[in-house]
Amino acid sequence: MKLLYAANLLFMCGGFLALWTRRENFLAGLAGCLGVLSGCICLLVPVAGIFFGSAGPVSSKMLPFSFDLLSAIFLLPVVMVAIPAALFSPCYLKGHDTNGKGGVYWFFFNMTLASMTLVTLTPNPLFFLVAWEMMGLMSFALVAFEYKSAETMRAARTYLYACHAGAAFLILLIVLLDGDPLTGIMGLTVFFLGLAGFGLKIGLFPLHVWLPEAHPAAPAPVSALMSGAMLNLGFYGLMRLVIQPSGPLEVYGWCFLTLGAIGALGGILFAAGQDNLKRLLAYSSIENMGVIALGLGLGFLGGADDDVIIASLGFSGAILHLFNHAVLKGGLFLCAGSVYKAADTLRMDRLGGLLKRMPWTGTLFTLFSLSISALPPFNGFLGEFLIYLAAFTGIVTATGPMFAASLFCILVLALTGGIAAGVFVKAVSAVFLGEPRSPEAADAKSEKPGMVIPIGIFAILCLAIALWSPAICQNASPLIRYFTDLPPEDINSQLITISGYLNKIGILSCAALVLFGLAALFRAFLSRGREERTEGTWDCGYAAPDARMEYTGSAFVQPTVDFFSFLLHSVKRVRKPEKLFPEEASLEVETPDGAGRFLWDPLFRLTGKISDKVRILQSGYLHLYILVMIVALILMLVWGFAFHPETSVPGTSEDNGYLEVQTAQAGGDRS
Amino acid sequence: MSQSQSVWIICFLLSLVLCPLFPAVINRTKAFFAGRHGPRYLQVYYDIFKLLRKGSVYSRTATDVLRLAPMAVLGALLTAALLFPFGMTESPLAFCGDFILFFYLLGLARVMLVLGALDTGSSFEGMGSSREMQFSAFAEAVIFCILAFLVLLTGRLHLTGVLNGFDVGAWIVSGTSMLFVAGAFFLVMLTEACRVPFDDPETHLELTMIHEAMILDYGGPDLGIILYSSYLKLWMLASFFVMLVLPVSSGDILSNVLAYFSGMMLTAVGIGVLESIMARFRFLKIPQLLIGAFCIALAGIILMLVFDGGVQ
Repeated sequence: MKLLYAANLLFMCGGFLALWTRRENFLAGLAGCLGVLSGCICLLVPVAGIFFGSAGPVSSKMLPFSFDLLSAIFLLPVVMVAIPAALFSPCYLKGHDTNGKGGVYWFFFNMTLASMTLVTLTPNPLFFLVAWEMMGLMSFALVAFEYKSAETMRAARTYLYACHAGAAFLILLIVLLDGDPLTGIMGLTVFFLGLAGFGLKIGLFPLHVWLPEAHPAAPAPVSALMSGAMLNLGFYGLMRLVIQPSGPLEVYGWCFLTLGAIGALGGILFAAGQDNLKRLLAYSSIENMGVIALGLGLGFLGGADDDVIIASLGFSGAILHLFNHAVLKGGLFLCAGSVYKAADTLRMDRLGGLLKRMPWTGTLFTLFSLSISALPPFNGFLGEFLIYLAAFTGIVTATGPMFAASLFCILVLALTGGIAAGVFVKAVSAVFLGEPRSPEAADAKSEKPGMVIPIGIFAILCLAIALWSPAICQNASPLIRYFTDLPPEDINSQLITISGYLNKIGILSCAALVLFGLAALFRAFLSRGREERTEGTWDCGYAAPDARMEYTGSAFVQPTVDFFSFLLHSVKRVRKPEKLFPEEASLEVETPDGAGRFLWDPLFRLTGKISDKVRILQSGYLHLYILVMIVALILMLVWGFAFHPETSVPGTSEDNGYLEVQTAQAGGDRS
Repeated sequence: MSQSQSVWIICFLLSLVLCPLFPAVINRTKAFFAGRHGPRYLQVYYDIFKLLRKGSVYSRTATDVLRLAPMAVLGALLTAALLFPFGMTESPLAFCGDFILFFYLLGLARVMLVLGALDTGSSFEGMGSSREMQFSAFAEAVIFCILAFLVLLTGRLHLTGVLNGFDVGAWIVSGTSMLFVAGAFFLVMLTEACRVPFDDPETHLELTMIHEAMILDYGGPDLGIILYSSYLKLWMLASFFVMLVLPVSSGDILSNVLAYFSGMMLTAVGIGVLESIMARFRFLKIPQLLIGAFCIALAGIILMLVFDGGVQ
């Protein structure tokens, strides 16, 4: 516990020191970076102790803080993403940190980390809400780093509104939570409020609108931190506060399953339509959050069905995918930041051929992309494999609705996986392969070691996750035990079986690498003493192909995007070639967010219209206000006496019992 | 190691050696229909050996991705082959969920090929890759639907069990579902292996190619490796189809293996006949056909559930 406090103090010290020394860029950077690093190392000790060792949960006697496995599961990605993101920041900020902006950045970076840590440490709803709001505000400041650009400010405002809308639901939720554990219809209300409030942070599909706006606007390390670590905390909130072990597990399961499926498919389809690299990555985060939700959904349904195999596979798959997504998305966003610094644009149709300029960044980006498309032998495959296996087990053992859920889950995962591979192939090829498509890309600067090394750390973390995946899955056991009433020994033996599968995949992955190596040796043997030349690319006999004839990223995904046009509604601006000797022709395709365009915009416009009508009341006449108040009072009196006669009787004995329940809750005995 | 597993090793090695014969049989069948004599059966081997002994020419635009892709494709497909129960045998490496790994390894091979193609910056290779990625997304959904059916039918969770877990009885009891699923798989096999009516391996116009367009810039040993890999992939998919359609389990391993190889032969002839009597479809129609296949497979599952009482 002491180390956890120390970490928070270090974050805050680092932040305030950076703010203090903001006139000196170097000092501010040093203070901020050291604050993050030392804080993270302090966090790492207790987290690793509870995660890989045998340490038990601890809680503070005086303050409403406690630290258990659930905290550790969500705190570990924070630490894993924060360290490389912080190391990446100094290089990324160079050129942007005039006027003390560097110091301010470090202050908010540290404070975001501190508040994220606090969120995972407090089971007390009120403290949780405070930490949660602080996290939203601090990260808002980070998103608004480039505050002079109107576009950034628009994105930052969207993020702020989303945060506050989420907080509004959470305040209601916490008011309802105050008291006896809720059952029946009130329990469901609590769950849906939580789903709305935390779903806004996770980016569950119709609630995801802030993600594709905020990520392209924020600096790359901030996007990495938010996407890799902060989105997950929504799931943490749901698990810590909202989901009751005694609650209706089927309802939880079906909600997660439906939202997860919509999120996974919707996220990846909209990712296909994007031209901005970071926007594409943001949509891919929505997809991956959907996949995690699918896993949790299967886990809860398995729990409701008393099926130990499905429950353990679903939960452990979700947790493993959460870890994989955190490091992969962190790495991908940092690569995107590197590209932005080198070529000054993130539009994929204007990039290309960067692999020659930035070989390390390009190679790592390619590997991360393959991994996040869930292709073996990379770590991203493992989580999806377990979720797939949960669904296939459901096909064998379950009947009725559970069977339907499993089949649905398999189909969604298959289609998502197929499209995701296409989307990431597009990202890799449009940015790094082929010929540069614009002067900016042709004159791109070469990569800096200060940027490559943090990205490399993510690659090492990927390898570590792959190697320790059985250990990570073992940690699902207490969670499954907490949420379901399955026998613990069954869960543990099932998790050991799962470790066996993961080991088998590991062996086959090694086999794949060995076979690849043998093929390469064979190839090298064949080309011994043979001639090897370079020539121009074969372009159907045309002698001088240039970059304008190359397939662009938009062209690559055009068949898919057009096929799903009934969902995506891409906007095309065409200038057709005219006359016999056409001079200019152009085509621009853009896929704005569907939920924003077709759900929220009309809804907000309607709200605006209604508010316009109601404004008559706000005319400034005091008489009118008094009249309104009197009318309201009379109505309330009528309501109170006519429908609830018992409310007029003051109940004295009720109050004491209420208080007692409250204190028992504040003790926070959830683990 | 059981007898079935030792036979697996023989079948595995035989498959690696014999897989180029499969397209050879298809070509001979097509030649027969066209009234030609056709190339010798061993011509495919000669071609590969000739290619392996040549030098290579690479595009100036390309990086190491183009050079490494063929080996990655071969490595992924060979690893997938380690899991496959050739000829009703048992793969010693089978484990629960290995069919997911199997089809994702095929996916990896495809993605590597596409990355290699895009590395050259050629517009035609971009075109082929773009089509390949679109069709494969749909094909993957169909394949997993078919897998769900087989898992439901057999109650097993690995490729060996799924493909060996039923016999002719399954065709008698739930023939309609089996027919639907086998039909859907046949369509997917043709898509994945880039055969007519989805793609024409013998076309000579870059604009209309898929697989061939992606390998325009390869020559020499690289081309040889890629050709061999595509034969291996076709062989594995065709084996899946044969084991689906011809589930012989006579108890005698030798007759099983013989039935398997003759089934492969018949499938090759069948594909040859189909390619001779059909033209390639329009590209815009292909996703619709694949969605049709998906619906057929789903209908198979539903029929199975409604009429056969579900899990056996």
